[in-house]
Amino acid sequence: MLILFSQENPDLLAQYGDLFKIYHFYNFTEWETQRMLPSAFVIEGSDAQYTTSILSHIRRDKEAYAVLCFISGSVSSLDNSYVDGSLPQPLLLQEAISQTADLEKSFKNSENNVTHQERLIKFLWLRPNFVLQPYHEWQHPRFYRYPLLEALSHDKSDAFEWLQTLANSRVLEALTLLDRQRECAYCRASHLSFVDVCPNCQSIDIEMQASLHCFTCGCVDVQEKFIHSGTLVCPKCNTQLRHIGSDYDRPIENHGCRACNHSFVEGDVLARCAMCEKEMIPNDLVSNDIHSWRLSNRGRTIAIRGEFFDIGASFDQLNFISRELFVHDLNWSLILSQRYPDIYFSLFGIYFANLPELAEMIGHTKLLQMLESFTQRLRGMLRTPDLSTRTDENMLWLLLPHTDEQGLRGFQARIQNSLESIMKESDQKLDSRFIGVALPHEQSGQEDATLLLARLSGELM
Amino acid sequence: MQILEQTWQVFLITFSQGKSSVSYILVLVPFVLFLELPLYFVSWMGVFRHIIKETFETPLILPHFPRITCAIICYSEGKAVQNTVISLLEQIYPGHIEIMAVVDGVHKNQATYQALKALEPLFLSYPRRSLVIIPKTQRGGRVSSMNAGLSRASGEVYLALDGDTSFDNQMVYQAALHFQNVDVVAVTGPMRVRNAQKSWITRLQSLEYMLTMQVGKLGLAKFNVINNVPGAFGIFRKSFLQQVGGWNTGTAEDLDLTLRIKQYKGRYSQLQIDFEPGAVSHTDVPESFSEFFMQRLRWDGDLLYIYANKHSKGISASIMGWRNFIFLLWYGILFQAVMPFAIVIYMIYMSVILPLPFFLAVMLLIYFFYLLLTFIQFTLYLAVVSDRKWEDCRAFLILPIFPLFQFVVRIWSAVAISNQIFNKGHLDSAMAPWWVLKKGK
Repeated sequence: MLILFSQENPDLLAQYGDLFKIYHFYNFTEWETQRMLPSAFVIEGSDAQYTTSILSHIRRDKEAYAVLCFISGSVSSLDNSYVDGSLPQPLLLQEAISQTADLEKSFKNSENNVTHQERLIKFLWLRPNFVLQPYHEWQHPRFYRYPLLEALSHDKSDAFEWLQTLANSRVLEALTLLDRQRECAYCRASHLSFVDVCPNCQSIDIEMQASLHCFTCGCVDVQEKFIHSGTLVCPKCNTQLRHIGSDYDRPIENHGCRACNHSFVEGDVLARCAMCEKEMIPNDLVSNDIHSWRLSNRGRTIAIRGEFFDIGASFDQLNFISRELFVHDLNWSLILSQRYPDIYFSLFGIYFANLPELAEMIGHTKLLQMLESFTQRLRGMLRTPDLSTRTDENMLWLLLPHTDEQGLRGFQARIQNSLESIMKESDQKLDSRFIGVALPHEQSGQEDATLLLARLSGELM
Repeated sequence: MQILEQTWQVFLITFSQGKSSVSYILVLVPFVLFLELPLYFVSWMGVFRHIIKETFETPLILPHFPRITCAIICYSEGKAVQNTVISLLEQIYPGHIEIMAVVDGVHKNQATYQALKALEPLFLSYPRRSLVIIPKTQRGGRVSSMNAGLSRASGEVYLALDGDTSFDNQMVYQAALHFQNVDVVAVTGPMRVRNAQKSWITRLQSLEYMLTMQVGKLGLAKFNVINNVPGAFGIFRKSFLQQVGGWNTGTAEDLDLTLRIKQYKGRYSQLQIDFEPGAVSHTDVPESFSEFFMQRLRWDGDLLYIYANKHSKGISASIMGWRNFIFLLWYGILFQAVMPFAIVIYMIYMSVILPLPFFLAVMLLIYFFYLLLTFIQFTLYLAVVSDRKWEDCRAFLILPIFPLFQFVVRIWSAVAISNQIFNKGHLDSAMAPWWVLKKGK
């Protein structure tokens, strides 16, 4: 089914009639009364304002936002940021529609599919080659805008801030750097003007003044005071200045302030924001890189598997220390145990091999609950001096001081027990693997903490 | 030692014997002195004419600020060329000055070219000054550079300047005033020695420049018989220069051009070559004796080349007018070309016929004569012409050896002219490639 938006010409798509059922609407309000969701919208493109208005309505609509939109005729550069191009031939159109339908089937249809981010991910998922382009508009306070982001967020969030969040959570990745601009530190507007001012009193009333320096008496003054009927004569000592370099020279200070009479080499530069009218030095301006963006691998994963959440976050109650610190402490313990025979400890690794797959099978919420109850039990098993870190989303390391081989075996048994009891409630098996070494007995050669961790994780995977 | 005592005796006797011996001296004293003296007188008369004019006539100075083109002929000056350009930028002249730097053989002289390029931003802060750099890939010599500049010049007045010469800041203003008079076709000004304090030879040359270039030229100019518009500092009316056809191939192109301008005077006697004492230039002279002698070997040899080879037919009263003809005959031929030989022959003759003490006494007499002449000339210079009196006073110290210097220069001049006659010295010049020099007459 196609929906045609056209102000007058309902027969525009006559040749598509064989393949598609076509409905015609004059404007968006008319469509809203019926809210039919088509395979694609087609907009008659002779009136740019009309096209843009329909498009921006569609992209803001809570249901139709991701539907394919084509324009008959040429596409303006503004529309280009929402639209899927100009209307292709019927067969090609059919192909595009079926492709999108396939992609839509594979899209994880989450029930809470209403946040800006989910809408954006769906939109981009349905268009695998879509590049989110900024649109340059000199009237816009920031010169660049992302009309698609504005539409999908219903104008509720600042496009640049949102992009930053998306980039931080690695949902989008930058494709090309298109521009770098300076923005007002107060309001982030790019409409700036630069003015040079006196470095002494900040007055803008400065001028270039040619100055001279008399070698005879050292007098420095503006050139006008030296000129007497076609010759240069020092106003102080009356020496005639004939030759630069031997009688006089020009001081480097060739700017003067008319407000405070200060002479200087180079004025200060102030940036002035045209929007908020605040002044700042150019160094304080904020630099903003303008990129084009596309959906990242992670973004695509979210599209398939549903709303993303950090599985590892469920381990957070274990009071992890940083990997660097853990490696450092492990090294220290290794050295300690080699020097003093009565000191011994164990290193224990836990690896969950199938977390993403499991999340798909039993759902995120369930997996999260499962891991959290495991973490709770694990926490109960750890003693105060035990250290733990996470080197990957699904890889935990525990350093257990004063634990020998026997203690280690006991620890592993308890962990297995608790996991099994958790697993009883679920049909799915959590593929967990363990490795434990009692140190320093199982240390091979001169290996240090990094090598040891690498060897053990290699054995686990 | 004995000889010196005897010389002194002869010297005292000659002077103590009163009138009868004066005629005897007159026989002994070389005729060359009398050939030379009138020239000095002419020059001094000219200077006095200048003083009278300066004192009693207040000239009507109308503002006249034509567009000026300063062509700087650059070769291997390197960074030194910047001084020249800056001294031109610094001119106190209300009109437009187009500074045109012609770099000959630019591939070889990248340093010069880059030094000029580096000055481009400086022009932004000087109103009514523009820089044109003409890089010449094929080296063609001085003449080729000056003509290249002439063909591209946009100014009404064309200045041909050397890359190692700088100028006082009123130079253009003072020189341009002369061109109000439509009969003035060329102007030159005093050249001062910039590196005078470097060595003995530069001090001597500095004094020589003061006496010949400043006093001498000022005097000659008043009679409208200026001998030469130097290549390092020549100011021309562009239209006339183009009419004459610019510079001609061959060495001593400046003297050649001066002569060719003079050859118009038979028909257009109103044409003038002026000297402007206020248009001062500063140039570097050779700093060692060997360099100095090499330079003079070239200059003096070229004189004969110009007079005898190039302009043998042009030097006539009907072509250049009687006044210039007589002057040229006198100054150019007799003074510059014949006298050096006369001096050498006279020296040999005297040393043969006179006993040594007598010979030395005569030499001493001649020395004192020239010392007196130099002293008068220099005092006149200091009193009337010099614009840096205190600085120039230093030259008093070398006044006693100046006559000896002049003597050596004269003798060397004879060598140079012989070299030209027997060796074709004009083809051996660093001013242009050999294939260019060969095309000269």
